Amino acid sequence: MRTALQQQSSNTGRAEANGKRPIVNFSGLNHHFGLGDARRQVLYDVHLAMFPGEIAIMTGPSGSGKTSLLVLAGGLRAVQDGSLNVLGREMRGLSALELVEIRRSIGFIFQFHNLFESLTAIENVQMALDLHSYSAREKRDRAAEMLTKLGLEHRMHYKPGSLSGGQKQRVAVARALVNKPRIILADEPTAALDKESGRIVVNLLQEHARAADAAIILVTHDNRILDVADRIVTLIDGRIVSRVEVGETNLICEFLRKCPVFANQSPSELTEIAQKMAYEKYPPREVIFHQGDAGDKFYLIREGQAEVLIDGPDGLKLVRTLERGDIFGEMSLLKHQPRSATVRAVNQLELYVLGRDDFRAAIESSVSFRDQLLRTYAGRS
Amino acid sequence: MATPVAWRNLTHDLRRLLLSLVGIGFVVLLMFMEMGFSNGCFDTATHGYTLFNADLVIVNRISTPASPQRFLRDKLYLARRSSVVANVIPMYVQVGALWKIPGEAGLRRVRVFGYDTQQRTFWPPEFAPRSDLQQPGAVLFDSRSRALLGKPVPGTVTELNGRTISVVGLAPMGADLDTDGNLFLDQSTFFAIFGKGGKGRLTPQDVDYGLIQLRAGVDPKQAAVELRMLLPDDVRVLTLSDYCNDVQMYWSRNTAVGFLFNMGVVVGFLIGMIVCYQILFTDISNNLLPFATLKAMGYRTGYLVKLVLEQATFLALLGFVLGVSAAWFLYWFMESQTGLTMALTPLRIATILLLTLVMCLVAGLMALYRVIRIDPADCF
Repeated sequence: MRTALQQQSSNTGRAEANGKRPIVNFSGLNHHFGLGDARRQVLYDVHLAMFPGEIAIMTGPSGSGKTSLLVLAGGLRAVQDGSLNVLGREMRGLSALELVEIRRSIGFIFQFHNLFESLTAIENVQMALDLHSYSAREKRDRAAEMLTKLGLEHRMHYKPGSLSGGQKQRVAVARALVNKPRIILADEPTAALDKESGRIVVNLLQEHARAADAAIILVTHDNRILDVADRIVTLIDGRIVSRVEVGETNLICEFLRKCPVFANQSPSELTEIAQKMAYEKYPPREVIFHQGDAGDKFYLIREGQAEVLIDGPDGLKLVRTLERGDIFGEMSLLKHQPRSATVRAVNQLELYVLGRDDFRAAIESSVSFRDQLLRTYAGRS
Repeated sequence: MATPVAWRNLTHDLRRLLLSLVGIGFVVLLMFMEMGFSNGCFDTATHGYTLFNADLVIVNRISTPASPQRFLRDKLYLARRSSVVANVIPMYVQVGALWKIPGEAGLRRVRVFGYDTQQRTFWPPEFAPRSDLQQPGAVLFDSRSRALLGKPVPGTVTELNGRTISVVGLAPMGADLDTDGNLFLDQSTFFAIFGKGGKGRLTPQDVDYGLIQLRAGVDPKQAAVELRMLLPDDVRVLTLSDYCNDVQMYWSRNTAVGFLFNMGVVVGFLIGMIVCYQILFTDISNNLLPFATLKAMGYRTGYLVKLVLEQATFLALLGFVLGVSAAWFLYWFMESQTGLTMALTPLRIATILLLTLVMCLVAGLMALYRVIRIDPADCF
């Protein structure tokens, strides 16, 4: 829980740094299904902010509340408790008709294509455009353009019955994307597809997220498509138990891997450490810790420079300057000693921070890691 | 233009559409037949009277179509005093007279009209006054009689109630439920056979119908009111169309015929409703996920309601076209076989069309609960 909260603060901090406002924002959301004795809680205190251009993959065992999250974000159910902001509107307390209006600016993709068998591909796509006041020509052109983009230009006038599974799902994707929605909610969009078709579909989604600056929430168990995610959120029993900023995590792993200390860690061990790291930001000249402080955290520099100062007889003496990718603060944690030096930000400093307990747990879990570290320190002057 | 989803869903599977239309078309046909039989009976009951060349009809007050009563000719002649009356014609009728089938030994019952053949008493051109009817035993034969009366031609000689008669011409009237055909006689011949001169008891003093021809431009309803003042209370003065309605009303009230056939229409209507409901329900069931997706995309429930009712209307109209075509053919066939009047009037076509539409729309409304209950969250 503690790490989750840290992650949360780091997450919002980073996004605010990008100057973007969330396009979907769950905060303190609880949700129940059923009535009376059958009433049971399906979502507990969910906090999740989705920013424009971001793809979040939501995983978790079935019944963990992923679908409930989509259903609420899509305005298909009324918000009961907590807050949910979609496209700048608070969803709680909206009437059924207002929810219908909001749904028109959301693209839905389902596990099954859900196309009308009686309509051709282009007509199925036009159904989405019928909701808006376009001229007949405009509708035809837009639908045709979208289908062409999805490589279906020669299948426009085919009915679903004469399309392959992958083609049908692409038509469904075209229907969801044709209005250029800022939010896409997709439920297992690749579950019924082979590897190749699945890849085409997720690539399209990725492209759309970038082109339309749209947020995409993708519920999936399909490990083949995890790479498109900017974020991977895991739900268990209605609670978000982990959220991985994929880009950030990869960055941290890159840094950690380059450090001799972590060189022997396996990718999964590195990822685990990375996921537990929180984001902190320091203005220039701010001291991160003083010499003699108790050691409570391990640091990795994401951006900026820091100077290491030792309080000697002649006053503070600059020992060395640390840069992007450097680590510090690990020694006092390992040796259970106070800080041996003061560390101060030179300029705007962005850090990844790992708490003492998590750091020790990581080391404890790997004897080789600990030996490795100690050996490294033995060789360090 | 919005995508024509209702039409596409309907026509997507042509085999199924055809089956559906056959189902609804059959029900439409059934309703047409029931209504046709019912109307046929009533139309036929008054068909002869509609040929009267008269504006008003005078009958005995206690006379009913089932038990006709005569009234005194003198009472009828009182009408001559009215300034609006142009002409008064006494009409004598004998039902169940025995006709010898020409060239055969068998006898059949016919209805015989006796009147002054010098006057234009029936309006069809074949009834134009002709002098040869004045000769003793001369008759006009109903050319629309049932075939079982034989096929007499002008010149055919046969017998009526044992008296020799000769057919001098043909004129169209038509059979009804208890009459196979008609004969038209001058009143002199009529009483020679059915009056005291023959073996009957009829006299010219007792008339069955009094036919009144009004002066040009006189309103029959007004004239009827005036004549009612002039004539005694034991006769009724009616316009011809009122009289025909009266007779039809009598039969529909006093016999089970109307009720039975109306029940037939109701049963057809109910069957049609079930058939239509089944078709719509199946279509909705086949498209649950697409419909749910429409709701998720932001279509209102009202749109889906419109879709279903549109589809119901299409079914009704297409099924109706099929049904009415079949009915047209069967009416023609039955008319030619039975001689009963089976008229496909615009009003009756409109009535069945309306019934068909109501039938399908009610079925549509019944099927609606299914689309209303579709929950878009079920797509996930």
